[in-house]
Amino acid sequence: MSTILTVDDSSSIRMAIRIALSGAGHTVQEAGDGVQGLASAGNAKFDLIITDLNMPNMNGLEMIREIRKLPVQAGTPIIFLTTESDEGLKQQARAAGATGWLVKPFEPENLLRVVRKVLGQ
Amino acid sequence: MSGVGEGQDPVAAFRVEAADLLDGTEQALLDLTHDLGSRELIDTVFRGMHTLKGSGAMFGFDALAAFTHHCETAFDRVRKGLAPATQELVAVTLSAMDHMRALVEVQGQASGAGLAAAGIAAAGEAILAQLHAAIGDTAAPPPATTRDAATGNSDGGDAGEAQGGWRIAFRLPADAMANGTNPLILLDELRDLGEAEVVAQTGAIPPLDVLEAQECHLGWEVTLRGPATREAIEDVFIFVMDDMDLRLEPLTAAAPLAPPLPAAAQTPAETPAQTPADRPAQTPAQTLAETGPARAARATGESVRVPAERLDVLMDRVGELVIVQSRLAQLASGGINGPAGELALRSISEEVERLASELRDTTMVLRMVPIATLFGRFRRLVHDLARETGKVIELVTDGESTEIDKTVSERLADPIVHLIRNSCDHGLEPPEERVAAGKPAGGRLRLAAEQAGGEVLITIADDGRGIDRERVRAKAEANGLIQPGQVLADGELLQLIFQPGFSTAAQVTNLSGRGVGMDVVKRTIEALRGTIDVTSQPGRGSVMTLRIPLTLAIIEGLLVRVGEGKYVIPLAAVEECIELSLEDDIRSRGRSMIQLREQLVPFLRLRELFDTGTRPDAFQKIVVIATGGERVGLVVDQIIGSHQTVIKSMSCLHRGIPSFSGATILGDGGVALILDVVQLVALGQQQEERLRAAG
Amino acid sequence: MLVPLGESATIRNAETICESLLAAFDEHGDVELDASAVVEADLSLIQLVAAARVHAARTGRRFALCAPANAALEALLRRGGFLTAPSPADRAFWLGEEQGR
Repeated sequence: MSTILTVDDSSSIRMAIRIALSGAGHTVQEAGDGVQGLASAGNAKFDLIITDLNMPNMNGLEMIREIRKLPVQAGTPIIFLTTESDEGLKQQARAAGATGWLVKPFEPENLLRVVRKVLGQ
Repeated sequence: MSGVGEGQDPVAAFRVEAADLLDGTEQALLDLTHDLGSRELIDTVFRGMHTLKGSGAMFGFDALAAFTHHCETAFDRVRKGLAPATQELVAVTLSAMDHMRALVEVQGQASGAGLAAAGIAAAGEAILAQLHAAIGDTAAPPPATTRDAATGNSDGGDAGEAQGGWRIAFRLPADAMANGTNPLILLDELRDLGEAEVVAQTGAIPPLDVLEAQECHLGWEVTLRGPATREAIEDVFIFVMDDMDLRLEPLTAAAPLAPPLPAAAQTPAETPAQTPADRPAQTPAQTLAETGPARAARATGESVRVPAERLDVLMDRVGELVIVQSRLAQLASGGINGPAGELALRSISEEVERLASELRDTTMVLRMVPIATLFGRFRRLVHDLARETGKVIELVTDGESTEIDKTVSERLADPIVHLIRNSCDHGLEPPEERVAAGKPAGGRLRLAAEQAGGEVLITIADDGRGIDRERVRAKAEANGLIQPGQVLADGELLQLIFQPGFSTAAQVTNLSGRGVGMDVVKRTIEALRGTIDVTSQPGRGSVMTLRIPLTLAIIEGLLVRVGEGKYVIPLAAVEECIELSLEDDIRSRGRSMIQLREQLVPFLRLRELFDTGTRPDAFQKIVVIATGGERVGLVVDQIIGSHQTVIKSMSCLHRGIPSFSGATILGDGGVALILDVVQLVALGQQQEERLRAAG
Repeated sequence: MLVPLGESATIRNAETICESLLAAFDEHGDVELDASAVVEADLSLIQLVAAARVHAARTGRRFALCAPANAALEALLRRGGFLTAPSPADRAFWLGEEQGR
């Protein structure tokens, strides 16, 4: 299926994402903050990137901006996770180059739905 | 980092993570008390709360998420400069941390804990009231929910449903494709909603020499027939809705087969597209499916975080073991023929021995955690103690990277808490008393750890008034622990504080006198096969030194034989081995003392103690063991040698038996009991006292 | 001048394809695009080709596919709605069908 990078400083959330996605047949790679996420995105082509926004070292917004500068990730969908009802943050992430979002807390089915929505099929 | 014991259970992983987050956030809060203006610290606190809330809500910790939301909001305001960071805010947030810990614990327990939960909820309300006061937020607290409030949206305007279908014209933002939106997938989604006729609009595409190849200049017109609702169509475009041009017109029943829009519709940018402001905020979580109630949290076992490289080392060793195993299997199937075969077998045996020892070391290391995690808890304690006592206390820590077995670390927490309380409560003086004594007004508490051989040395030192020997003596006499006027060495006098029932607190304060005495501390340390020593200088302070073995599971032992039984003496306690000549044996019949370099050392005949009913060997040995400065000799029949001892605890039937701390299985399958050094030394001292009393 | 495409023509290499087409127009005037090897393509390619057609028309050059769209490309065109109500020029360009049929 697809190769998906998930970036979150919360290992439990990463684990929940990994379990849901690998259960649906996807290959999942993990990164613990924006710096690691950017490094991974520079090294390999991903079909999808799922990232938290609030992270130490490099936050999600900054990471998305940097990833969009990488030719290899042109057009790669990026979903961000947010707990904010804050429209402003959503706009900022969209302006940074994100494709869509998922509001925490979410159930695995929700995650898979958003993934299907962005990847098709 | 990868988790051992976290496995595939995110709830268990969250518990570990929550504990780490709370600890980290608490450290930041404590640092914040010294530097209220630090943006970085405020951010760290905010981020900690934010993650805790988000992940908590993910895994069903709803009460935690709701409560944390308020703290997050408070620090968000501080972060944005809408409210100042104050000592009051930090103090109330610190108590909020404790509340959050309780909420993590309570969640997932049986519903019978409802009463406890109610109590916790009440405590939470009180903290929140303080929090809102501290942040200067007099308005009513926001609703205690983390879910978006905008769930009750309903789209006014034209009917949500069009009988015949819709004519849809859309054009995506120029950066949509580069930002990961695939228009083909959107078209597929529209096709899923009904019978769709899709016509691409290419009229806006510029000539090649001015085209930005990654931009999207395409538009589409879609005639969708069927009962699809406006919401369902808007849902297709949810992620690009705000920046795109989307026109939706119901197909009129009169003209259900109307042709596509005329060419004019190719510039929908000029048509009055529905603006984002007309539309209530929507999120995929709401529109795709409301999240169900969070899954019930499962009770979880203990888990340890292990750096991945340590697991790699373990994997390497296991890999080598597999190779050796295959060599052994080959040898076994071919038969051991002649000297060459024996040589091969011996080489395999040596290899296995090396691997076993390396595996043991590597596995042991998996359980090791830096003592910093333990020390970290005490910063908060000292902070609270300083507030409670009105003293100024500076905590200095050293050697925080020293590693210690996780279980040991956890079991050390309570004794060290007690020792720190003692130092802050009794040891350190109030500022005015210190100044009068010519000392700095602020007291200093030093918490240090270092590894020394197979032990970790932990010292808790204060620069307070020191232990009042006269009071110790008076108290001991009053309690009948010593005879009035009994002559005691200074070390012995200080050791009295570890006697059961001893407490020097003249008045029972909130901090001490909780019914836990130093004797409990001592017993806990000894249960870890450690020791505790105290030194104190009047007016200069006291030092408590804990010596704790690195691990509980394996010790270097000295294997000895007494009668027909084999026993293990922890090698760390062994000072020396000497011969007990027949002559000395007979001469010391009555007194059981030997002269050891100018000193008389009592000894115990284990053969008699264990009532073996055997005759002594011709060449008995005395193994001199020591603990806390006290020495005692153990008479054994034979010293077999050193032995890597894997400690098995005694069955509950035998656990009460003094003199033995456990058992181990020997190479030949036999069992050897492990001698309890502390008990035996105490026994030796008692014997000496009896003899002395008897004259 | 024949400009060949590889197996993949997506937004990831759209700029490169765009540059090679422009270079071909500048150097040789008329350009033929060989998209027969294309397996993986997205709308950025369709858009590039459309832009090239506009460019050719404006500058009086010839621009064509050297062969009708292969299966992958035709599927992409249909999915994107480019062949739902095509103009005769479009049919001729993409599918090689005679105009005025």
